[in-house]
Amino acid sequence: MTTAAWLVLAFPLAGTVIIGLGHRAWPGRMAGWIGTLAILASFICSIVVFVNLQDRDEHHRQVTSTLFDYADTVGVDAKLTILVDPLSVLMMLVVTGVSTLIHLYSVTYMTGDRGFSRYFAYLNFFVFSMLVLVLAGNFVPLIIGWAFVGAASYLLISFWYRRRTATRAGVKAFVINVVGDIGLMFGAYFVLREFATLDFLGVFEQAPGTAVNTGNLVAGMILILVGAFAKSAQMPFHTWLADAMEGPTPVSSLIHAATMVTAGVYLIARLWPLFEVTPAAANVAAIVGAVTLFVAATIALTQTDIKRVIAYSTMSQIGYMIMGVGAGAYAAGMFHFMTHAFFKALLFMGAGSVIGAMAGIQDMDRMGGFRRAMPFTFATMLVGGLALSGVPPFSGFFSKDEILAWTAQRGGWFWILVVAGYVAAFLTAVYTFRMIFRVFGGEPVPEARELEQGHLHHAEVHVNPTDGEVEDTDVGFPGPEHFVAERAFPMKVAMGTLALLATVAGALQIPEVTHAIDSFLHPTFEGSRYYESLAPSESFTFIGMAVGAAIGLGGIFVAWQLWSRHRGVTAQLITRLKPLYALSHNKWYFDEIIDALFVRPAAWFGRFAQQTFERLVVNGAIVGGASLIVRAGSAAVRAAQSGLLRSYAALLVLGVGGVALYFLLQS
Amino acid sequence: MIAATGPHIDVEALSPLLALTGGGLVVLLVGLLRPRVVREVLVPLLALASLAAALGLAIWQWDADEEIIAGALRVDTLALAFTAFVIVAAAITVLLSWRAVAPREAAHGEYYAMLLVSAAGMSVLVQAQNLVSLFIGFELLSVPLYVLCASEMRRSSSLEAGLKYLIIGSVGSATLLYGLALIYGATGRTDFAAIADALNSVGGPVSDPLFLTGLALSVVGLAFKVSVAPFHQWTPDAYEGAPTPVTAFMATATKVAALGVIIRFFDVALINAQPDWAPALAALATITIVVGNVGAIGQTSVKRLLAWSSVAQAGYMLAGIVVGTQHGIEAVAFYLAAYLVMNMAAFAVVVARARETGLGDAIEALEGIGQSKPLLAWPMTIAMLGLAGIPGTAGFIGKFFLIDGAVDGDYAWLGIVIVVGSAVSLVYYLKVVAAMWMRPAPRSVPVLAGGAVDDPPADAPAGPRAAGGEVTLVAVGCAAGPVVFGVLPGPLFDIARDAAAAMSHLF
Repeated sequence: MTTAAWLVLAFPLAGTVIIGLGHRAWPGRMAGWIGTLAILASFICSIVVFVNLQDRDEHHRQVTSTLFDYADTVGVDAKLTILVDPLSVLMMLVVTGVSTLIHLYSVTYMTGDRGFSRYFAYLNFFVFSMLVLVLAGNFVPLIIGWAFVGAASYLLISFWYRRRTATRAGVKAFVINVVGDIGLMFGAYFVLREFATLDFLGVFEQAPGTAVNTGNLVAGMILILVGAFAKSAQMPFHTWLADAMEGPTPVSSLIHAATMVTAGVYLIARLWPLFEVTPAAANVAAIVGAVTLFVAATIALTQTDIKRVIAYSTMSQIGYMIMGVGAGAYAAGMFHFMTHAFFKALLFMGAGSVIGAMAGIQDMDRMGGFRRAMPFTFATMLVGGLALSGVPPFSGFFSKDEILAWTAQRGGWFWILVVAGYVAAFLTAVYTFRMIFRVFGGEPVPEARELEQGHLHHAEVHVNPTDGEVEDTDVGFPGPEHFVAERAFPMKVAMGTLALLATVAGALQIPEVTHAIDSFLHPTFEGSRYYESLAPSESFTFIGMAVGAAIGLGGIFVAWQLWSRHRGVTAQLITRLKPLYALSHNKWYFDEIIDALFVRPAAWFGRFAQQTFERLVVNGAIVGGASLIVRAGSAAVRAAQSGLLRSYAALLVLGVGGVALYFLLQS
Repeated sequence: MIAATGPHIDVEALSPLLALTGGGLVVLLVGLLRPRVVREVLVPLLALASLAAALGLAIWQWDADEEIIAGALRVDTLALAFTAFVIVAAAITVLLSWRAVAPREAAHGEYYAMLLVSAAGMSVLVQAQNLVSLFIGFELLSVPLYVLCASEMRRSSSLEAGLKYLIIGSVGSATLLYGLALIYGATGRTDFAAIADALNSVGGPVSDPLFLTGLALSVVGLAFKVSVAPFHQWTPDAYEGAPTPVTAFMATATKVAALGVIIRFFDVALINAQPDWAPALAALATITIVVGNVGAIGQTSVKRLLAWSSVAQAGYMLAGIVVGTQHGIEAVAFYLAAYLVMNMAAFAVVVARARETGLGDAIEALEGIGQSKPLLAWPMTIAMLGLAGIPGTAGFIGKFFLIDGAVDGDYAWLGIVIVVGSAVSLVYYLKVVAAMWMRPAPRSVPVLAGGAVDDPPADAPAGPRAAGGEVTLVAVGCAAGPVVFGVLPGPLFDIARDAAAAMSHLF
């Protein structure tokens, strides 16, 4: 079984290497098919692992395998260990499954881009890194996977490397991710100090024995949370995610919606034994998740870039998951992770199709009336939107409701988080259907009419959708061709499959009827304080579901009133609620606040350090002094190295004399 | 019939040594034959064969732990591991010498025979178990090397190197011999274990001036061979002047052997005087690290730069011996193996570029090869980064190990010295890397574009020629070592642990 698990890792890595080494040789779409097949093979191996794991006895479903000991010495056990258990298998299945579909989608979507092979090499590398992160059974591979994922994300955001906006977004994402990496590493150090091992199972075994809320451990777990927040775009480390939309749309779909950004959720669920002995840290996670889910939902209301709307929605939905796993609703959080991966990847793919029809334009103000031109995209996005809004019987309804119902069971101030969750759920439905009504409803725009007449609009001049700069279509910029799902079979397959999953996946865990995820994950969470005790009563569950459904439908109704029935009302609303609109439209001024608090002081300090401190103290005194000493020493040594035997002999006598003197002084 | 009973000779335990000396004799005799193909092909092949046999026999003996020849030599994992290192270094040297000038000038038979005898001497040295065999090994190692240094007879700098090495080396040998004699005089024993017992006895000679003088002189004598400052001065001159394959052999194998005997001499015979010699060795290590690193800055000859670097590296390794723990010896064994392959890779590139450009060992010969010769540039880069101790290479793990050993043995300040020394060393290691990747190839360098290796004339061939596949192979193969063992240090850890386990009386 562990062989299959290692193969899950091996295929994407092999794909990266094969595509990367032969990137000049692969004709046409070959690189894309190689990449897709590699991930598909990985998915099949994941299924094999899943089946084998289910064959095992309930209490023996945590299997480790060590490839080699990197260093098993001086008190550090850094080993390349994988941990196969229900939690990692669930992640593995979703990651490889969704990745396969997105690779398939990309085979068409990226055709014509001059960096086609490079794209798939990066994408396979991303999947490999994500799987290392997921399968890690030791903090060392976890950190390696964590950092690799950040690097892959950087490479893919900056994929169109001649776009200045894209490279800047990539750098921003990378910097914030590295802040998270540092947090994770220091956190792991605290764990190592506390438990003297880096091995997950070893740590988990000792964790219940430690005192609750030990200062050191709480500090360590908060540092680990910094890593989780940075990767999962939680406040205040969230600003990179919206900018990350500069990457190609399938990348947004895979990395910045379905997989990488949920790594933080996985990390908290993975380390639950540690978080249960440090409730202070777990509470921080729950609160930050709740704040993020609310703030991001308000921001999504006023964005006009279609991809940014979905990006803020992603932040908000991950906020739900983080709140869930922080509050102890582990299975609910992981369930929402799974359904979210389906419907959010689907929404991004739909957005990609719409952007294709608009020849690269992403501004919703210029879109409208695509309903008839793109029936397939419309239908699938509608499914995705309903799932996101939490309308029964779509999958998002069940998973979101479960998080809220379980969190409410913690009682006390957790109710505040739950109320925020319900308010944000209402906003979610509003902004989702705002997007759908504005893109698909109303009068068809010229591009939509052109498509209705069977001709895909092509831009005469290619411009950067962010800053309107004119570009060519050579390598480093997007290719000249655009694609819509209606005309590309692979895109259709990918979106259709995800639409189906987004519709039915909720059936895995219908309250009081099925509990597949719950019982599947049970072996991982055996011994947890919350895993079973948080289950809400029957009446509570049904009230929660009724409220959730009503809120979702209400939000859609409001959106219909504002953006479909009474178009133009919004303009009045904007003028009347100007401060609120400005707050949301400017993303709560987070970029500005971070700029004022960190970037500007850092830049000022940097200038000071460079112009004053470095010139006078570092260059003058320290470097100058040190290099003077080294240079003088070097000159002295070289002077002594005259090449003349007599001077060697002289030094030799001195040396012997010195050593002998030292020893004789001992007597 | 008269039954003569000589000392029992354990042929099995002696077999690696027999293979080396026997190989030396055969090579010497075969080298007298007339046909050129015999001299130029068969002789090095025979040398390789005898080295392979010796290596195989050493591995076959791996678990041995016994005294042979009436207690003169000791065959244990430490001796066998170090012997194996020496043999590997000698085999690589044979490959580097294949098309070199030196064996052609000195006659192939003599050249390879001396190489094998020197390796045999090193093997004796690391097995030495009493003062006499120590000195025999010491001389058996040195005398052939004096000759090998001077084997490019028509190049005056080679002769100069040989002569300098001979004079300074003789001074070193004399000092060592004097020291050994005084130690014998003070303890009345030549056997290492017996010396240790004598030092341990109540009222023993630990603080006897006679013994301490002997100790001082033997420290100095051994310091010569490892090129510990301030007794390092022959090193840059001899390394620069000697034929490059010989330099490679001296820089690696000699270091292995000399450090091996220092481990045995200090950690077995003199372990009870450790409080006496440890501070002195620590001080010497510090001086060595400083002088080596500072001296390497500003060198324009790669061989000279590597010579100074080897001085500094000797200082690092001395730190592992100072602490007198098994952990320290483990670190030294690990570092020696890493050091060996990294240096061999570097020297192989120097050999290749000297042949291709005719610029000798100047750093200009390496300029721009990142573009034109990646198969040489990468090994050199890895070797330089490894010697500097960049993470991901075996050099990093080795240094980490040495520092850990130093800190463990209450010599934390020595660990700090190692770190500072490594930081300074980046100045010159990165200079080489920068020359390869960041500077264009100088116009005047005629770069040979592949092409067949044409037979060089019988006389000393001047001017550029192809490097030869075996040199590139050595460079690539040796550079793979630091990377592989940097990622998978397990097997090397095991060898180092086995080697240190032979010193079971230590902590």
